[in-house]
Amino acid sequence: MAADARRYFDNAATSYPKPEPVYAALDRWARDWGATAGRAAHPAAVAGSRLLFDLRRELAALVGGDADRVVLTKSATEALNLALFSLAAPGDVVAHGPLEHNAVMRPLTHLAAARGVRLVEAPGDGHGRVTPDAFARFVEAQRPDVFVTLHASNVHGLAQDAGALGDICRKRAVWFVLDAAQTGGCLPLDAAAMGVDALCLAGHKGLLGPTGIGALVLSARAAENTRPLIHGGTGSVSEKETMPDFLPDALEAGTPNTFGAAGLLAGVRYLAERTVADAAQCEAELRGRLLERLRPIPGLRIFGDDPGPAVAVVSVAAAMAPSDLAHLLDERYGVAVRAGLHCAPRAHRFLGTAPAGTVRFAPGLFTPAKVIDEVVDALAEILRSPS
Amino acid sequence: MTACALVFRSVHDVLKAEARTKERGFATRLIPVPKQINPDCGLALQVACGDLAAVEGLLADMRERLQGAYRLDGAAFTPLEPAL
Repeated sequence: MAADARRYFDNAATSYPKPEPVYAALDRWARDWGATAGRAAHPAAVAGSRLLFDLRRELAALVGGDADRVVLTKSATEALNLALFSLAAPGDVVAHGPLEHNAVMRPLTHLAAARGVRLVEAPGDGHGRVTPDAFARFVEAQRPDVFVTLHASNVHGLAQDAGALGDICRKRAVWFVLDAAQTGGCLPLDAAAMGVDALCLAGHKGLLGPTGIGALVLSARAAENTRPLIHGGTGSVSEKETMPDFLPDALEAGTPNTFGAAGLLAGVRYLAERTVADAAQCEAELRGRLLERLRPIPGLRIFGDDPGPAVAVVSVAAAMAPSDLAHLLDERYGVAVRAGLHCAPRAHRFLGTAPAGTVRFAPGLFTPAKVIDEVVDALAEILRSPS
Repeated sequence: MTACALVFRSVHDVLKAEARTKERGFATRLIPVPKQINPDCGLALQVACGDLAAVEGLLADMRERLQGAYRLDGAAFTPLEPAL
């Protein structure tokens, strides 16, 4: 049985449904081409190479990057690992925010143990956002070498002022790594203007592609300081048993994910035509309606209820365990939400919701507004009549 | 028309050169490269020899990515001194 797309409120994990051109592109690629890109001169292989080239170029245009410095990865997690393992040198001070996902905290914890990197947490406001003024003072005091943080929280959806944070990093020569897993395709991004050295993107969330593909968009100076996480064939400099020293090949060992690229390119083209600004407006309206309907529910704690920039992600907690609430939403009403820690235990500790976590509602671009009302009514009914 | 070819270090680079030259109206196209010149993907950018200087000027910022310029004599690639 297929998932109920109308009541799928787990778009912060993976967007669903996708725009129709994404499904068509995946099918077309599998049937018509399907060859390995960059490894031969026959038409199918060249089609694969063109696909990756077009994806780099059009993704770069969407997020303010340079196509020559777009590295395709399997996920935002891999992009973050590539950035952090490249830019954090032994003994460096690496700063992060209070809300980071484990895609940031786990590589940082490893780097602390393996390279002696010292981790410092920048202060957050009441919602955990790192504000520019507080960050400027923090940078002055801590002198970090690298700052990594999320653009928007995957727990409550609120966004940080990445441009202002990037400006401080640029002035202080701090590497700025931005985890844009939740905001790529959902909020306007301009990596160059925002002073981002390493923009880390998930292909399967707001960018509307399939799972298994992400991207790392590097600044010129960061591109000079990268090193591969894995080593292997690239289709270039094959006479050598060492990795090429140029992008993107240096960071893309192994057969590229052309299926993922085909779907992601279709998602990027959909967003380019619709415009990210329009998608952001849609997200804001969904979020606004969700918050408006949630506020009157007695005994409900809402996280992220703030008028600042945000994506359509809201968490709640009630007297009932989040996992039970999520189960009843699914069982009684066919509503798909995510309960628990959302791979962000640090964020939940900050918000006071660890260890049980919250129930997260994440509608998407194709969620009808009236379904927001139905889902909130379902939540209210469960809380009124839990058994 | 005598044909020439430019060989780059990577597939991304040759596709970038192709896109840029086509955008400027040059009749370029991708062709296979003999394995003795490049053992890899085997793609080069074919250019009319009469356009070679103009194309090399257009791609001047890709100097470091260019591995060689050639004159095509049938299937043979004869090295040229690149102007880049």
